[in-house]
Amino acid sequence: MEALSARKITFAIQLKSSRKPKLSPSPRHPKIKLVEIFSKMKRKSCRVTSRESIPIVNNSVKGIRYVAGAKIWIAGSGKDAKQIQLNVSAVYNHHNERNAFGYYATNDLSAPNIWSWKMSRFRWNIEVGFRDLRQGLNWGKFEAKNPNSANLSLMLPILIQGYLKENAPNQPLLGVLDAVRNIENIASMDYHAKNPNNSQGKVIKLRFFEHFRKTIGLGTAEIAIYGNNHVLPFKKAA
Amino acid sequence: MLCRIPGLARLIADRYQDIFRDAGISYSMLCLFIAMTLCGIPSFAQLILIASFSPSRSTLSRNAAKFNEDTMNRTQRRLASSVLARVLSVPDDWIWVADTTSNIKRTHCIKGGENWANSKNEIFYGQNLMVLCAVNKITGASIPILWRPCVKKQDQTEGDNNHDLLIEMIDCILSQNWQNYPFV
Repeated sequence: MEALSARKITFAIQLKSSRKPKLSPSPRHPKIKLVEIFSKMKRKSCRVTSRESIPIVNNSVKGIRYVAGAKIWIAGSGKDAKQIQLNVSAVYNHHNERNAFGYYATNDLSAPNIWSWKMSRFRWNIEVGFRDLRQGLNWGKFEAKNPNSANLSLMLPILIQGYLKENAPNQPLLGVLDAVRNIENIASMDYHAKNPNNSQGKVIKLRFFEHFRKTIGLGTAEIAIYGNNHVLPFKKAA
Repeated sequence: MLCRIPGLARLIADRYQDIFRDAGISYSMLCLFIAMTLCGIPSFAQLILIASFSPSRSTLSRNAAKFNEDTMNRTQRRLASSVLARVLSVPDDWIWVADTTSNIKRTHCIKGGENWANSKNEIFYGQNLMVLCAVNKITGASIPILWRPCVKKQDQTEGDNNHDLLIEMIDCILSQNWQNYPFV
């Protein structure tokens, strides 16, 4: 927290409930538990929409949370650490609950109480990103025999995910990858296409390329096929 | 060989080909590595079985080993600058998120290296990776920018813990026009 504040970076973090902050920076002021600070405060209700990172799953609460906020002082780590003033908000599932399900803090003192919690909800996206990397791009399954290869195996999925998320941010990564991987199936489709009595394979191939063009939306000049010299050109996406 | 690789792999390779060329990895080899990852092929042995046009396994391994730390840092900086260019165009939609995730399970054949071993040259099995991502608030897309292998807790010394690692990563981004966006 100290390092981020020194670099003038606005942060939103989750505090441990066992923290014992102060309401004043003076040394005479006692340390109080977070639960005791917020238990007697007035709480405001707020609704969370599904657009804010995570759709609400808990039907009993229906997207309504209760928030209480306060400005408190927390000592940094180390012997010579200074005290930092933080804007902390406690978020509750019910209006009369004693224990909050989370304490969220920010160094932006002018921010509304709900802001730090809403920002913390975006942490879920990074978990989704890791899941996509592992499931879609085999992140971490490469059998490397030296450190350089291990670094390469970690770097390549990140490069691919970065490129796809930059150019097609609204498309799910796994859907795009499925479209790419269908190229392997075209070799078997060719067998049907070459058979004059069966035109089904040719139709499937054309449909695939149309689907690929729409999914990627990059206007790729051409896509080649595994194990086949035949290259199908197609026009740029409109 | 190139004409048989998916076009998407070549588009990605176009961005980084100059960096990899300096390390001695050719453009076609880079395309093959990317296509391998793109198609979800976990090892070189399976790549050779699927793609008949690929070079031998030893050639692939030799080229993969050329990816040194300097190349990795340059690639990360290139990735960060391309993401930052996009972030700066719509600054309100993006935030920065840092998190740790579990590391890969590697084979016993791997030798100790700078990032992958401690001072006794013992390999860090199962240590975490610290990843710094840019997350779009509207689309929910998360783009990893930097990653570093964390040191195991029992091997940590002063100035070598996860907190200091994160600060080092932030300083790395700060040098590339980081502005005061929220950090989560």
